[in-house]
Amino acid sequence: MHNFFQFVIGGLGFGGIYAFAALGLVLIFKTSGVVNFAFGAMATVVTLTLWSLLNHAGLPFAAAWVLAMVIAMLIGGFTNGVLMRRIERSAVLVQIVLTLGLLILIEGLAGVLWGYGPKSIPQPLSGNPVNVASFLITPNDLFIIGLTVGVGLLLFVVFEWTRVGLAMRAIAADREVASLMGIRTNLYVTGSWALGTALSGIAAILVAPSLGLEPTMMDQVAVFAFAAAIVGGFGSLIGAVVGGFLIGVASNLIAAYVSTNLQLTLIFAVIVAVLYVRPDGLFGRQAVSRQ
Amino acid sequence: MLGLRGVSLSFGGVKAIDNLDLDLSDGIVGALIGANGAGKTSVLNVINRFYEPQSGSVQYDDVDILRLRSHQVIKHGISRSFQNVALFNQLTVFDNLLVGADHISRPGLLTNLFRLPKARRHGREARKRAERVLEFLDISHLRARRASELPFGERKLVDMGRALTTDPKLLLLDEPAAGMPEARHESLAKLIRQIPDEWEASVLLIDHSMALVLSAASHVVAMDFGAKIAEGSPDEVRSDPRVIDAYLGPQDAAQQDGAQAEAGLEG
Repeated sequence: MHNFFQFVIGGLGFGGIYAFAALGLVLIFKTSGVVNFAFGAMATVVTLTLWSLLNHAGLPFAAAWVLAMVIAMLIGGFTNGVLMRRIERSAVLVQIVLTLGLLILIEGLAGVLWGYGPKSIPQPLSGNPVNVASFLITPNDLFIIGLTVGVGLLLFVVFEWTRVGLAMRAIAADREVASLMGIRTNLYVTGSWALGTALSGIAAILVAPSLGLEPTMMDQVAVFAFAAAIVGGFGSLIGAVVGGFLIGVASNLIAAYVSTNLQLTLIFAVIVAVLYVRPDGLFGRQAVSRQ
Repeated sequence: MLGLRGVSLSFGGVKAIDNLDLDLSDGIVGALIGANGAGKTSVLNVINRFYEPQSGSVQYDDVDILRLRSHQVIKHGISRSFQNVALFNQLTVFDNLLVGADHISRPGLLTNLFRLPKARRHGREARKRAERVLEFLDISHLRARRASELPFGERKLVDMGRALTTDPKLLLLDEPAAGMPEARHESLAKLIRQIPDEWEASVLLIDHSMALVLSAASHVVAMDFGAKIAEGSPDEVRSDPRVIDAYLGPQDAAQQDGAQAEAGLEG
């Protein structure tokens, strides 16, 4: 039994990473209705930029991270404000296809600019595992878990209790009417793309030390992030965080007790089961379509 | 003061509005009546900038409305409710009203995020206004309910409340009585009559329930096939032979006069 819980705890670090990636997806989806398939590639570019800031500009890690977040927000804001805005009245499917195109384009450009070989960036915290209540956990995992919970709570408070959050919830419910009520919808949607890209950027920065930084690094994370978002109800921020941790823990347990080769297969078996029981995910609200 | 001059709107070959002149003074309840398809909602959609008329002008006080975009109309004091109710379904009744107050004295994004005093004061004012609206419409007990849970009639009230929370000078009401039991029409009419005094806003009301319109409005314009066919006090318009023709088809007007008021003339 002790082993079991050790494996659970071992999955939380990756769970936090999936949670950040899922938060980025869900935030953008909530306000714009678009599933941004390019989010992983955009996040990888953020991390490659961080790598350049560390290795070429010689910035300290914390400063480089802050700057990378600013750049992430610019990339996200640009993507919506310049690229998506032009087709915002087209069918959602058209917009999603554009993000698929962006995924391929950005991965290609990143390869040209930074090369294809894996690069390394340091973990935010290094050090040997510490003993917490007889369980071993690395300082870096502790950092990831704390950051995930903290950012998740902050987002929740902003969304539920502030006027900005109310405006975003109104946009999520009905963008046209929100605009009619005088809410500057374009500003908020662009803002959520900026923030969403920063959040998935955090995921990429956190995962790069384990996976090796290269242009297609996030492709493998994206599948787990989608899984986390779906389990959480694809629309709920809390759901994205809880879903991320659930997927992280579940895949660690599958790797430990079954086989690493079956991780994805079994994860999706679990998702299918969840969706059969709760079609709107664990935290989802029944979708109300306005046709 | 709202003024439409020679407004025409057509979709393909269909004329929705035909050279319409319309004036609404401040501080009164005016009404547009007409059968379904007479062009009433199209008029609101023009004022709201949903539809672009092919010709004509729309002036509100000194503002040329046709130069605005739809999200700017509200800043000039014009807000509306919707025929089919367009509430934010997942939000509570109270939050729906608060969204209506969003555009008033907007503090900056950062001011608001960090809850500086200015934002807090704004929040208090918005809340106070929303509370007042709840009380006025007698729906305070619904405040924590999610909009999607309410029956259609209550949602119509919330929709009207959200439009009131925006602090309008001109309130456009699109069929406020639709979906409400007839027994409540009189109390709804009474509420609407109070709006100019209680909220310092004029009202432009659309309905095909003649009973509601006659009771709520002091100035009535009747439309048929996009054109104005009569204008005046409720009594004048009701007894106008062209209005009776438009509603009931060309028949012996005198015979229909009594039946018409009773039936409420559902279009």
